[in-house]
Amino acid sequence: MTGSSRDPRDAKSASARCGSGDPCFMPAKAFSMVKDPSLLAAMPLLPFVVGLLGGVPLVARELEARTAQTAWSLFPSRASWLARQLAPVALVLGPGVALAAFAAGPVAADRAAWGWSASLDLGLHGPLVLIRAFAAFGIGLFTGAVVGRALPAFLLGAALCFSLLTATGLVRDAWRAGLAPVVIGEAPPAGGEVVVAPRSITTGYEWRAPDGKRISFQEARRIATAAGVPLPRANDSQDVAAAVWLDAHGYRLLIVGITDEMALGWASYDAAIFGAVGLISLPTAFWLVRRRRP
Amino acid sequence: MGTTDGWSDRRSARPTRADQATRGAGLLYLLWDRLVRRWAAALLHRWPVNTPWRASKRAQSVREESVLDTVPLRIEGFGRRYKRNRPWAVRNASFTLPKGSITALVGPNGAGKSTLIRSCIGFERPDEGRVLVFGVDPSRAPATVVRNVGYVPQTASLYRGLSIADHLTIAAAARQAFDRSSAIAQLAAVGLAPTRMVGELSGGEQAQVALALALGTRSQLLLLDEPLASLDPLARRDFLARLVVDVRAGGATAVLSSHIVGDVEQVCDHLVVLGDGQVILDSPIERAKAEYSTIRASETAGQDAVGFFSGPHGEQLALIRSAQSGSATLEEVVLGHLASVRRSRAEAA
Repeated sequence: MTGSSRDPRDAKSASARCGSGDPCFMPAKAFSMVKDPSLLAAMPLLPFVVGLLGGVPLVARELEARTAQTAWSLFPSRASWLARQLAPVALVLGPGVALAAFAAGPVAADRAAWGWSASLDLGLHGPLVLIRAFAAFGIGLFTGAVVGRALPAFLLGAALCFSLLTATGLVRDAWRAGLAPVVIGEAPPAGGEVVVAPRSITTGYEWRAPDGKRISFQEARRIATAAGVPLPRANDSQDVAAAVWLDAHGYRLLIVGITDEMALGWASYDAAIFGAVGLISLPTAFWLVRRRRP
Repeated sequence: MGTTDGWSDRRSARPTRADQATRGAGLLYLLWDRLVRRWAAALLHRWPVNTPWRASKRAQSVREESVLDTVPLRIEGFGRRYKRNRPWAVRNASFTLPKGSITALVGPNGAGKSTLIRSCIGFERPDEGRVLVFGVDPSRAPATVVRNVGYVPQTASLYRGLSIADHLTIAAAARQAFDRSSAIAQLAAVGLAPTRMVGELSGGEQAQVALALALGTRSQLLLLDEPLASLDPLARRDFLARLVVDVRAGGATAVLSSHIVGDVEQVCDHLVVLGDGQVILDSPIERAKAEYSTIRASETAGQDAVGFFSGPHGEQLALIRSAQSGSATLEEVVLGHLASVRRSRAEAA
């Protein structure tokens, strides 16, 4: 009752179950290859590592090696000096990250074709990777300008990126919880196999009454209790007796959740959060460099 | 057939995968930093200088310079402390540099010489008072000040991974007025070829490069923060000789901080003594020498002694104001004034 038979999370076990002579062997093996590609496995970290490695040393190394004294005494404008430092790094790293981000696109599309929820790959390919790298670059530049030493600034930047990622994840979960769930699957009568719409995320269960009205699990239990169905024992978490009674009286179990289209709505918020962090940290770093002692 | 010599042991101790990975990551970072990042930066600094954007900047610079004050450096009640509950690094310092002078800023370690010099280029912000460079406050208009100031830091702070020529290129990109050929000629005079890497140079040679960069900017005010500290006596003499020739030829003004009085006496015409974070003497050198005399400490009865200090043979000497032409050397003038600060500090304690 937890998902379709094409759930990619079952791929490894399916692959293991299929013997080399079975007809399922080749598809299962093919899926195992697209499920965990190394490129996508690296994508959660890549924009942050690249952004920090590019951003931190720009100011921190100059302050650490005291070369900032020479540079800032020669360049009338520290902003123009920093822009000159920043430009070649952005010119090298930007296209590099973009290449990896867009190369990961088809890989993610392959996974989605197998029923994998595309929203789970959000931020692992496409423009969001670039925006995350931009945010990490801004954070790196900022921590470098604050700390003035490369290694501590890198560690602080990594901690800030991790906190940002965790906080964004929490906000995303809260946002998802606020979405009105839709029916993504319905149990057929007489206990057949439940088929859940592909690329969807299950958030709960409901019942459909014989008159077509959706009722909550608790409400359905109250109806069953009123009809004399005994309350479940402590070890009966699935409340089998109520389920059997409801099924026999025309009620249908519904699997509710959010579809991929709904979950992908987070992409714009994700881009806004990381973009805002980049847009704030970058000018702040410029401001700090203008005010800082070399 | 096993051998026990160290060489065989070293050969048999193969690096682990972790070692190889660490070394690989280190090499990759080095490759990125030294080749890609530095190379790209050096390439960008060669960007053509005559762009319309630069032309407008140049026009702005000319407009700004036309309103500059003629007094190169004026310090008014300057005070700076690095932490709220710490003693002041410099306090209540006031003096004005005459145009075209070479001023020696002398004082013991920790007197606040570097703080004062760094504040003149906007590297430090005053907590009290103000600094005016050609009438402009560096903390309010740093770009205008930096454009008119050449600075040599206490320790030569050059890019070790770049050549001398790369430094000249960076300086030329930063300052339109930078005289690259004169800088090359100056460096050639001390035997430094532009192709040499800065990382291979001695401390003294790096100081020469830093001076060539500062002089090449053709700035009207030169700030030299103890540039002689890392030089041997011969290099010191060369350094000062080149400084004097260049400053006098360009009609510039220079401030040279040092705690070695003998060095600055040869080239400077003005003296500012800092002690305990305060200006204790601000005078032309010739006048300072003329106004003071040194006598034995035992002969000071009835005379107002500025300070007492030990002579070269261990005898106690006193610096006094002389009515007629004085006989004190510059070193004695400085020592006497520093001793007076020490005495007043002891009395206060």
